[in-house]
Amino acid sequence: MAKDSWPNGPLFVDEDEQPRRPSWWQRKRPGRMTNGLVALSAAAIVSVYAVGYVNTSAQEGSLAGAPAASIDTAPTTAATPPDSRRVEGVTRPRATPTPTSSSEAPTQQPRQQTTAPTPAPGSSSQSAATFKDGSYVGVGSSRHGQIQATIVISGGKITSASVTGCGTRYPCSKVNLLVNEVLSTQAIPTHYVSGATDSSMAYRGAVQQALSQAHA
Amino acid sequence: MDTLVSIDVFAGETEPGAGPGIERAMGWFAEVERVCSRFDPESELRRLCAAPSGEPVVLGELLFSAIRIALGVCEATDGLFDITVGARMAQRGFDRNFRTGERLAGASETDPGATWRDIRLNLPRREIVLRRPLLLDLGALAKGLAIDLAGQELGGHERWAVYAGGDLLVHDSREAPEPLSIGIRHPRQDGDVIETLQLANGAVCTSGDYERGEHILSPGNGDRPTSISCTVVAPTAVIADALSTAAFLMEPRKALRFLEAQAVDGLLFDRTLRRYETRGMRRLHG
Repeated sequence: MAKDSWPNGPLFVDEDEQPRRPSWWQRKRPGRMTNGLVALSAAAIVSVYAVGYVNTSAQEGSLAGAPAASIDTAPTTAATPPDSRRVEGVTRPRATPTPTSSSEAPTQQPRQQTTAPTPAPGSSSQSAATFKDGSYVGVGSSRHGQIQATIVISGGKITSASVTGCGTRYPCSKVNLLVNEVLSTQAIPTHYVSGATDSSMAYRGAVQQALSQAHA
Repeated sequence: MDTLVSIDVFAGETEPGAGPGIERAMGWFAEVERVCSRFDPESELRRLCAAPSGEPVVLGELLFSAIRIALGVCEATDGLFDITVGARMAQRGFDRNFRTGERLAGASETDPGATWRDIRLNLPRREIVLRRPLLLDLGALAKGLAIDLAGQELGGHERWAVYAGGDLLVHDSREAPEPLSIGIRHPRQDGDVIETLQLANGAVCTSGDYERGEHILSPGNGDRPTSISCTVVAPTAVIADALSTAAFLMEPRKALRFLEAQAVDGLLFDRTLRRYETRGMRRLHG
Protein backbone atom coordinates (compact mmCIF):
# COMPACT_ATOMS: atom_id res chain seq x y z
CA MET A 1 0.00 0.00 0.00
CA ALA A 2 1.25 3.39 -0.91
CA LYS A 3 0.77 4.78 2.56
CA ASP A 4 3.61 2.72 3.92
CA SER A 5 6.00 4.39 1.52
CA TRP A 6 5.38 7.65 3.38
CA PRO A 7 6.38 6.92 6.92
CA ASN A 8 6.31 10.45 8.27
CA GLY A 9 3.20 12.23 9.28
CA PRO A 10 -0.42 11.34 9.64
CA LEU A 11 -1.89 10.05 6.49
CA PHE A 12 -4.63 12.26 5.24
CA VAL A 13 -6.39 9.90 2.95
CA ASP A 14 -8.49 11.13 0.09
CA GLU A 15 -11.68 9.48 -0.96
CA ASP A 16 -9.78 7.47 -3.55
CA GLU A 17 -7.44 6.22 -0.81
CA GLN A 18 -4.46 8.04 -2.27
CA PRO A 19 -2.33 9.54 0.46
CA ARG A 20 -1.57 13.19 0.10
CA ARG A 21 0.48 15.67 2.03
CA PRO A 22 -1.39 17.96 4.35
CA SER A 23 -1.79 21.56 3.34
CA TRP A 24 0.95 22.83 5.64
CA TRP A 25 3.52 20.43 4.21
CA GLN A 26 5.46 23.21 2.50
CA ARG A 27 6.54 24.45 5.94
CA LYS A 28 9.22 21.77 5.93
CA ARG A 29 11.12 23.40 3.11
CA PRO A 30 14.16 25.02 4.65
CA GLY A 31 13.90 28.72 5.23
CA ARG A 32 10.32 28.88 4.18
CA MET A 33 7.85 30.58 6.45
CA THR A 34 4.22 29.70 6.35
CA ASN A 35 1.27 30.05 8.59
CA GLY A 36 -0.04 26.60 7.71
CA LEU A 37 -1.03 25.60 11.22
CA VAL A 38 -2.68 28.93 11.83
CA ALA A 39 -4.63 28.68 8.59
CA LEU A 40 -5.62 25.11 9.38
CA SER A 41 -6.90 26.13 12.80
CA ALA A 42 -8.79 29.14 11.48
CA ALA A 43 -10.59 26.99 8.92
CA ALA A 44 -11.39 24.35 11.53
CA ILE A 45 -12.81 26.93 13.95
CA VAL A 46 -15.12 28.27 11.27
CA SER A 47 -16.33 24.82 10.30
CA VAL A 48 -16.97 23.74 13.89
CA TYR A 49 -18.74 27.01 14.61
CA ALA A 50 -20.87 26.60 11.51
CA VAL A 51 -22.09 23.26 12.77
CA GLY A 52 -22.96 24.78 16.14
CA TYR A 53 -22.48 23.17 19.48
CA VAL A 54 -25.82 21.47 19.65
CA ASN A 55 -24.79 19.55 16.54
CA THR A 56 -21.08 19.07 17.03
CA SER A 57 -21.43 15.43 17.94
CA ALA A 58 -21.66 12.75 15.32
CA GLN A 59 -25.07 11.46 14.52
CA GLU A 60 -26.91 8.58 16.10
CA GLY A 61 -25.22 5.22 15.95
CA SER A 62 -21.72 6.58 16.20
CA LEU A 63 -19.62 7.32 19.24
CA ALA A 64 -21.14 10.54 20.35
CA GLY A 65 -24.56 9.55 21.41
CA ALA A 66 -24.96 11.91 24.30
CA PRO A 67 -28.00 14.09 23.79
CA ALA A 68 -27.43 17.75 23.18
CA ALA A 69 -29.71 18.47 26.08
CA SER A 70 -26.97 17.45 28.46
CA ILE A 71 -24.99 20.58 27.68
CA ASP A 72 -24.76 22.67 30.76
CA THR A 73 -25.26 26.21 29.78
CA ALA A 74 -22.90 28.18 31.90
CA PRO A 75 -24.45 30.95 33.90
CA THR A 76 -23.84 34.28 32.32
CA THR A 77 -25.08 37.75 32.62
CA ALA A 78 -27.02 40.13 30.48
CA ALA A 79 -26.93 42.99 32.90
CA THR A 80 -24.97 46.03 31.90
CA PRO A 81 -23.60 47.95 34.82
CA PRO A 82 -25.12 51.38 34.46
CA ASP A 83 -21.90 53.35 34.50
CA SER A 84 -19.84 50.98 32.51
CA ARG A 85 -20.06 49.88 28.95
CA ARG A 86 -18.78 46.54 29.89
CA VAL A 87 -20.56 43.28 30.37
CA GLU A 88 -18.92 40.41 32.02
CA GLY A 89 -19.66 36.88 32.95
CA VAL A 90 -17.24 35.12 35.21
CA THR A 91 -18.09 31.53 35.59
CA ARG A 92 -16.90 28.04 35.88
CA PRO A 93 -18.19 25.92 33.05
CA ARG A 94 -20.44 23.17 34.32
CA ALA A 95 -20.27 24.63 37.76
CA THR A 96 -21.94 22.45 40.31
CA PRO A 97 -24.42 24.31 42.42
CA THR A 98 -22.78 25.48 45.58
CA PRO A 99 -23.74 28.09 48.10
CA THR A 100 -21.11 30.33 46.59
CA SER A 101 -22.08 29.95 42.97
CA SER A 102 -23.85 33.26 42.80
CA SER A 103 -20.64 35.09 43.41
CA GLU A 104 -19.03 33.50 40.41
CA ALA A 105 -20.93 35.82 38.15
CA PRO A 106 -20.56 38.99 40.12
CA THR A 107 -22.33 41.25 37.66
CA GLN A 108 -25.37 39.09 37.44
CA GLN A 109 -27.24 40.84 40.17
CA PRO A 110 -25.02 43.72 41.10
CA ARG A 111 -27.85 45.61 42.74
CA GLN A 112 -28.90 42.76 44.94
CA GLN A 113 -25.75 42.34 46.93
CA THR A 114 -26.80 42.85 50.50
CA THR A 115 -23.67 41.79 52.26
CA ALA A 116 -21.95 45.13 52.00
CA PRO A 117 -22.19 47.71 54.72
CA THR A 118 -24.21 50.66 53.53
CA PRO A 119 -22.29 53.82 52.89
CA ALA A 120 -22.09 56.13 55.84
CA PRO A 121 -24.97 58.59 55.73
CA GLY A 122 -24.12 62.06 54.52
CA SER A 123 -20.76 61.02 53.20
CA SER A 124 -21.66 61.15 49.54
CA SER A 125 -19.32 63.31 47.64
CA GLN A 126 -20.92 66.15 45.72
CA SER A 127 -17.98 66.41 43.36
CA ALA A 128 -17.88 64.93 39.90
CA ALA A 129 -16.71 61.70 41.43
CA THR A 130 -17.61 58.43 39.80
CA PHE A 131 -18.15 56.58 43.04
CA LYS A 132 -20.20 57.18 46.15
CA ASP A 133 -18.20 57.37 49.34
CA GLY A 134 -18.40 54.40 51.64
CA SER A 135 -16.96 50.96 51.93
CA TYR A 136 -18.14 48.10 49.82
CA VAL A 137 -17.48 44.40 50.01
CA GLY A 138 -17.34 42.03 47.09
CA VAL A 139 -16.56 38.34 46.78
CA GLY A 140 -14.99 36.55 43.85
CA SER A 141 -14.45 32.85 43.38
CA SER A 142 -11.97 30.60 41.74
CA ARG A 143 -11.53 26.89 41.82
CA HIS A 144 -8.93 27.43 44.52
CA GLY A 145 -11.39 29.26 46.77
CA GLN A 146 -12.81 32.68 47.38
CA ILE A 147 -11.38 36.12 47.85
CA GLN A 148 -13.23 38.94 49.59
CA ALA A 149 -12.18 42.47 48.74
CA THR A 150 -13.22 45.65 50.52
CA ILE A 151 -13.20 48.85 48.54
CA VAL A 152 -13.10 52.13 50.42
CA ILE A 153 -14.25 55.19 48.52
CA SER A 154 -13.34 58.53 49.98
CA GLY A 155 -13.84 61.84 48.21
CA GLY A 156 -15.09 59.88 45.22
CA LYS A 157 -11.83 58.02 44.87
CA ILE A 158 -10.82 54.47 45.64
CA THR A 159 -8.48 54.79 48.58
CA SER A 160 -8.25 51.13 49.51
CA ALA A 161 -8.95 47.88 47.71
CA SER A 162 -7.53 45.38 50.12
CA VAL A 163 -8.14 41.69 50.42
CA THR A 164 -10.21 41.26 53.59
CA GLY A 165 -10.99 37.59 53.27
CA CYS A 166 -8.75 34.94 51.85
CA GLY A 167 -10.29 31.52 51.34
CA THR A 168 -7.97 30.31 48.64
CA ARG A 169 -5.61 27.42 48.96
CA TYR A 170 -2.72 29.75 48.20
CA PRO A 171 -1.68 32.94 49.92
CA CYS A 172 -3.67 35.94 48.74
CA SER A 173 -0.49 38.00 48.63
CA LYS A 174 -0.42 36.84 45.01
CA VAL A 175 -2.88 39.55 44.09
CA ASN A 176 -0.97 42.47 45.62
CA LEU A 177 0.02 43.66 42.19
CA LEU A 178 -3.62 43.94 41.25
CA VAL A 179 -4.42 45.87 44.41
CA ASN A 180 -1.94 48.53 43.35
CA GLU A 181 -3.42 48.55 39.90
CA VAL A 182 -6.91 49.23 41.25
CA LEU A 183 -5.56 52.18 43.24
CA SER A 184 -3.63 53.64 40.34
CA THR A 185 -6.27 53.17 37.65
CA GLN A 186 -9.31 53.71 39.92
CA ALA A 187 -11.01 50.85 38.12
CA ILE A 188 -11.53 47.13 38.01
CA PRO A 189 -8.26 45.55 36.97
CA THR A 190 -8.46 45.07 33.23
CA HIS A 191 -4.94 43.90 33.20
CA TYR A 192 -5.19 40.45 31.74
CA VAL A 193 -2.37 38.22 32.84
CA SER A 194 -1.35 35.37 30.56
CA GLY A 195 -0.56 32.31 32.61
CA ALA A 196 -2.31 33.91 35.56
CA THR A 197 -3.39 32.22 38.69
CA ASP A 198 -7.05 31.83 39.37
CA SER A 199 -6.64 33.96 42.48
CA SER A 200 -6.20 37.04 40.31
CA MET A 201 -9.45 36.19 38.57
CA ALA A 202 -11.15 35.85 41.94
CA TYR A 203 -9.83 39.21 43.10
CA ARG A 204 -10.98 40.82 39.88
CA GLY A 205 -14.47 39.42 40.43
CA ALA A 206 -14.51 40.65 44.01
CA VAL A 207 -13.50 44.19 43.06
CA GLN A 208 -16.04 44.23 40.29
CA GLN A 209 -18.80 43.18 42.64
CA ALA A 210 -17.81 45.75 45.25
CA LEU A 211 -17.49 48.59 42.76
CA SER A 212 -20.82 47.82 41.16
CA GLN A 213 -22.40 48.92 44.44
CA ALA A 214 -20.39 52.10 44.60
CA HIS A 215 -21.73 53.59 41.43
CA ALA A 216 -24.03 56.48 42.14
CA MET B 1 -12.08 22.21 32.06
CA ASP B 2 -12.49 23.49 35.57
CA THR B 3 -11.16 26.87 34.60
CA LEU B 4 -12.54 30.29 35.23
CA VAL B 5 -13.80 31.97 32.11
CA SER B 6 -14.32 35.68 31.68
CA ILE B 7 -15.81 37.33 28.60
CA ASP B 8 -15.63 41.08 28.26
CA VAL B 9 -17.57 42.85 25.53
CA PHE B 10 -16.69 46.51 25.22
CA ALA B 11 -19.95 47.42 23.58
CA GLY B 12 -20.61 50.69 21.85
CA GLU B 13 -23.87 52.46 22.57
CA THR B 14 -25.42 51.49 19.26
CA GLU B 15 -24.54 47.83 19.58
CA PRO B 16 -27.09 45.25 20.60
CA GLY B 17 -26.90 43.78 24.09
CA ALA B 18 -24.09 41.31 24.57
CA GLY B 19 -25.97 38.93 26.87
CA PRO B 20 -27.16 36.27 24.41
CA GLY B 21 -23.82 36.16 22.60
CA ILE B 22 -21.96 35.76 25.89
CA GLU B 23 -24.27 32.96 26.90
CA ARG B 24 -23.67 31.09 23.65
CA ALA B 25 -19.95 31.76 23.96
CA MET B 26 -19.91 30.24 27.46
CA GLY B 27 -21.75 27.22 26.07
CA TRP B 28 -18.70 26.32 23.99
CA PHE B 29 -16.58 25.75 27.07
CA ALA B 30 -19.07 23.21 28.36
CA GLU B 31 -19.35 21.64 24.92
CA VAL B 32 -15.60 21.32 24.36
CA GLU B 33 -15.24 19.69 27.75
CA ARG B 34 -18.16 17.36 27.08
CA VAL B 35 -16.58 16.17 23.82
CA CYS B 36 -12.84 16.36 24.51
CA SER B 37 -12.50 15.50 28.21
CA ARG B 38 -9.89 12.90 29.00
CA PHE B 39 -11.49 12.22 32.37
CA ASP B 40 -15.15 11.78 31.47
CA PRO B 41 -15.67 8.16 30.30
CA GLU B 42 -18.75 9.33 28.39
CA SER B 43 -16.90 11.99 26.38
CA GLU B 44 -16.64 11.40 22.64
CA LEU B 45 -12.87 11.34 23.04
CA ARG B 46 -12.97 8.54 25.62
CA ARG B 47 -15.51 6.57 23.63
CA LEU B 48 -13.23 6.82 20.62
CA CYS B 49 -10.30 5.50 22.67
CA ALA B 50 -12.46 2.68 24.00
CA ALA B 51 -13.52 1.58 20.51
CA PRO B 52 -11.65 -1.42 19.04
CA SER B 53 -8.39 -0.24 17.50
CA GLY B 54 -8.01 -0.55 13.76
CA GLU B 55 -11.67 0.17 13.08
CA PRO B 56 -12.65 3.38 11.30
CA VAL B 57 -14.83 5.63 13.40
CA VAL B 58 -16.83 8.64 12.21
CA LEU B 59 -16.36 11.66 14.45
CA GLY B 60 -18.30 14.82 15.11
CA GLU B 61 -16.96 18.02 13.61
CA LEU B 62 -15.58 19.32 16.91
CA LEU B 63 -13.51 16.29 17.89
CA PHE B 64 -12.38 15.64 14.33
CA SER B 65 -11.20 19.22 13.93
CA ALA B 66 -9.47 19.22 17.32
CA ILE B 67 -7.57 16.03 16.46
CA ARG B 68 -6.72 17.32 13.01
CA ILE B 69 -5.20 20.50 14.42
CA ALA B 70 -3.39 18.51 17.12
CA LEU B 71 -1.90 16.12 14.56
CA GLY B 72 -0.65 19.12 12.63
CA VAL B 73 1.26 20.20 15.73
CA CYS B 74 2.53 16.66 16.33
CA GLU B 75 3.86 16.59 12.81
CA ALA B 76 5.32 20.08 12.90
CA THR B 77 7.25 19.16 16.06
CA ASP B 78 8.18 15.73 14.70
CA GLY B 79 6.48 14.08 17.65
CA LEU B 80 7.98 16.15 20.45
CA PHE B 81 4.41 17.22 21.05
CA ASP B 82 2.29 14.06 21.01
CA ILE B 83 -1.40 13.76 21.84
CA THR B 84 -1.02 10.04 22.53
CA VAL B 85 1.06 10.82 25.60
CA GLY B 86 -2.09 10.35 27.70
CA ALA B 87 -1.27 6.88 28.96
CA ARG B 88 2.19 7.94 30.07
CA MET B 89 0.71 10.95 31.83
CA ALA B 90 -1.55 8.59 33.73
CA GLN B 91 1.39 6.40 34.65
CA ARG B 92 3.16 9.43 36.06
CA GLY B 93 0.22 10.11 38.32
CA PHE B 94 -1.65 12.74 36.28
CA ASP B 95 -4.67 10.53 36.32
CA ARG B 96 -7.19 12.38 38.39
CA ASN B 97 -9.92 14.69 37.31
CA PHE B 98 -9.08 18.10 38.77
CA ARG B 99 -12.75 18.72 39.44
CA THR B 100 -13.99 15.47 40.91
CA GLY B 101 -10.81 13.70 41.96
CA GLU B 102 -12.03 10.77 39.91
CA ARG B 103 -9.28 8.47 38.76
CA LEU B 104 -8.75 8.02 35.06
CA ALA B 105 -9.65 4.54 33.94
CA GLY B 106 -8.53 2.71 30.85
CA ALA B 107 -4.91 3.85 30.85
CA SER B 108 -3.68 0.36 31.58
CA GLU B 109 -5.09 -1.15 28.39
CA THR B 110 -3.16 1.15 26.09
CA ASP B 111 -0.11 0.26 24.05
CA PRO B 112 2.88 2.05 25.57
CA GLY B 113 4.56 2.16 22.16
CA ALA B 114 1.71 4.03 20.51
CA THR B 115 2.46 7.44 19.02
CA TRP B 116 0.62 10.06 17.01
CA ARG B 117 1.64 8.18 13.86
CA ASP B 118 -0.83 5.47 14.82
CA ILE B 119 -3.67 7.89 14.10
CA ARG B 120 -5.08 8.04 10.60
CA LEU B 121 -7.63 10.55 9.39
CA ASN B 122 -9.84 10.34 6.34
CA LEU B 123 -10.82 13.94 5.69
CA PRO B 124 -13.77 13.58 3.33
CA ARG B 125 -15.39 10.95 5.49
CA ARG B 126 -14.44 12.58 8.79
CA GLU B 127 -13.21 9.15 9.83
CA ILE B 128 -10.44 8.25 12.20
CA VAL B 129 -8.55 5.01 12.70
CA LEU B 130 -6.51 4.36 15.83
CA ARG B 131 -4.12 1.63 14.79
CA ARG B 132 -3.14 0.73 18.34
CA PRO B 133 -5.02 1.03 21.61
CA LEU B 134 -4.10 4.46 22.89
CA LEU B 135 -5.34 7.27 25.05
CA LEU B 136 -5.67 10.68 23.44
CA ASP B 137 -5.07 13.85 25.36
CA LEU B 138 -6.21 17.13 23.85
CA GLY B 139 -5.51 19.03 27.07
CA ALA B 140 -2.86 21.19 25.42
CA LEU B 141 -5.29 22.73 23.00
CA ALA B 142 -8.89 22.11 24.09
CA LYS B 143 -9.07 25.30 26.14
CA GLY B 144 -7.68 27.34 23.26
CA LEU B 145 -10.19 25.83 20.87
CA ALA B 146 -13.04 26.67 23.24
CA ILE B 147 -11.78 30.26 23.43
CA ASP B 148 -11.74 30.53 19.63
CA LEU B 149 -15.24 29.11 19.34
CA ALA B 150 -16.49 31.45 22.05
CA GLY B 151 -14.98 34.33 20.10
CA GLN B 152 -16.94 33.33 17.02
CA GLU B 153 -20.14 33.91 18.98
CA LEU B 154 -19.11 37.50 19.66
CA GLY B 155 -18.66 38.34 15.98
CA GLY B 156 -21.39 40.97 16.13
CA HIS B 157 -19.33 43.12 18.46
CA GLU B 158 -16.41 45.31 17.57
CA ARG B 159 -14.30 44.82 20.64
CA TRP B 160 -14.15 41.92 23.04
CA ALA B 161 -11.86 39.67 25.04
CA VAL B 162 -12.25 36.04 26.05
CA TYR B 163 -10.08 35.07 28.99
CA ALA B 164 -9.92 31.52 30.33
CA GLY B 165 -7.49 30.38 32.96
CA GLY B 166 -4.69 32.64 31.81
CA ASP B 167 -5.23 32.22 28.07
CA LEU B 168 -6.61 35.19 26.20
CA LEU B 169 -8.12 36.08 22.83
CA VAL B 170 -8.69 39.75 22.09
CA HIS B 171 -10.45 41.33 19.16
CA ASP B 172 -10.90 44.91 18.00
CA SER B 173 -12.27 45.42 14.51
CA ARG B 174 -12.54 49.21 14.72
CA GLU B 175 -10.60 51.40 12.34
CA ALA B 176 -8.24 52.47 15.08
CA PRO B 177 -7.86 49.42 17.30
CA GLU B 178 -7.00 50.10 20.91
CA PRO B 179 -4.55 47.55 22.27
CA LEU B 180 -5.21 45.93 25.62
CA SER B 181 -2.46 45.53 28.19
CA ILE B 182 -1.70 41.89 28.77
CA GLY B 183 0.67 40.92 31.50
CA ILE B 184 2.84 37.84 31.20
CA ARG B 185 2.99 36.07 34.51
CA HIS B 186 6.36 36.09 36.20
CA PRO B 187 7.44 32.45 36.27
CA ARG B 188 9.09 32.72 39.67
CA GLN B 189 7.39 35.57 41.55
CA ASP B 190 3.74 34.87 42.17
CA GLY B 191 1.45 37.79 41.55
CA ASP B 192 4.02 39.66 39.52
CA VAL B 193 4.26 40.15 35.78
CA ILE B 194 7.54 39.81 33.93
CA GLU B 195 6.48 41.60 30.76
CA THR B 196 3.49 43.54 29.45
CA LEU B 197 2.30 43.22 25.88
CA GLN B 198 0.03 45.58 23.95
CA LEU B 199 -2.25 43.62 21.70
CA ALA B 200 -5.48 44.58 19.94
CA ASN B 201 -6.09 41.42 17.94
CA GLY B 202 -4.85 37.92 18.61
CA ALA B 203 -4.39 35.23 21.20
CA VAL B 204 -1.85 34.97 24.00
CA CYS B 205 -1.13 31.72 25.83
CA THR B 206 1.60 31.01 28.33
CA SER B 207 2.90 27.60 29.37
CA GLY B 208 5.00 27.36 32.47
CA ASP B 209 6.21 24.95 35.06
CA TYR B 210 4.27 26.65 37.86
CA GLU B 211 0.50 26.38 37.81
CA ARG B 212 -0.01 22.66 38.38
CA GLY B 213 3.53 21.67 39.02
CA GLU B 214 5.52 20.32 36.15
CA HIS B 215 2.57 18.99 34.25
CA ILE B 216 3.91 19.10 30.73
CA LEU B 217 5.38 15.78 29.79
CA SER B 218 7.20 15.21 26.58
CA PRO B 219 7.00 11.72 25.16
CA GLY B 220 10.56 11.86 23.88
CA ASN B 221 12.54 11.45 27.07
CA GLY B 222 12.32 12.20 30.74
CA ASP B 223 14.40 15.37 30.57
CA ARG B 224 13.03 18.44 32.20
CA PRO B 225 12.50 21.33 29.82
CA THR B 226 15.00 24.14 30.07
CA SER B 227 12.39 26.86 29.57
CA ILE B 228 10.36 27.81 32.60
CA SER B 229 7.89 30.01 30.74
CA CYS B 230 6.82 30.11 27.12
CA THR B 231 4.33 32.64 25.76
CA VAL B 232 2.99 32.44 22.24
CA VAL B 233 1.04 35.14 20.40
CA ALA B 234 -0.90 33.77 17.44
CA PRO B 235 -4.01 34.62 15.45
CA THR B 236 -5.95 31.75 17.01
CA ALA B 237 -6.03 30.65 20.64
CA VAL B 238 -5.90 26.96 19.76
CA ILE B 239 -2.57 27.43 18.00
CA ALA B 240 -1.22 29.74 20.70
CA ASP B 241 -2.23 27.13 23.29
CA ALA B 242 -0.76 24.12 21.48
CA LEU B 243 2.41 25.88 20.32
CA SER B 244 3.14 27.36 23.74
CA THR B 245 3.07 23.82 25.10
CA ALA B 246 5.14 22.47 22.21
CA ALA B 247 7.75 25.25 22.26
CA PHE B 248 8.02 24.99 26.04
CA LEU B 249 9.42 21.50 25.50
CA MET B 250 12.23 22.74 23.26
CA GLU B 251 15.56 24.30 23.92
CA PRO B 252 14.73 28.06 23.86
CA ARG B 253 16.68 28.99 20.73
CA LYS B 254 15.22 26.07 18.87
CA ALA B 255 11.80 27.09 20.12
CA LEU B 256 12.21 30.54 18.57
CA ARG B 257 13.16 29.08 15.21
CA PHE B 258 10.20 26.74 15.40
CA LEU B 259 7.76 29.52 16.27
CA GLU B 260 9.06 31.82 13.54
CA ALA B 261 8.68 29.02 11.01
CA GLN B 262 5.06 28.75 12.09
CA ALA B 263 4.60 32.49 11.59
CA VAL B 264 3.73 33.12 15.24
CA ASP B 265 5.51 35.08 17.96
CA GLY B 266 7.06 33.76 21.13
CA LEU B 267 8.66 34.92 24.37
CA LEU B 268 10.54 32.41 26.53
CA PHE B 269 12.46 32.51 29.77
CA ASP B 270 14.98 29.97 30.94
CA ARG B 271 15.88 29.11 34.54
CA THR B 272 18.17 32.10 34.83
CA LEU B 273 15.29 34.31 33.59
CA ARG B 274 17.20 34.99 30.43
CA ARG B 275 14.81 36.19 27.75
CA TYR B 276 14.39 34.75 24.26
CA GLU B 277 11.92 36.33 21.85
CA THR B 278 10.97 36.42 18.21
CA ARG B 279 11.46 39.64 16.29
CA GLY B 280 7.74 40.22 16.00
CA MET B 281 7.32 39.96 19.76
CA ARG B 282 9.44 43.06 20.35
CA ARG B 283 6.84 45.17 18.58
CA LEU B 284 4.25 44.14 21.15
CA HIS B 285 6.03 45.40 24.23
CA GLY B 286 4.15 48.08 26.09
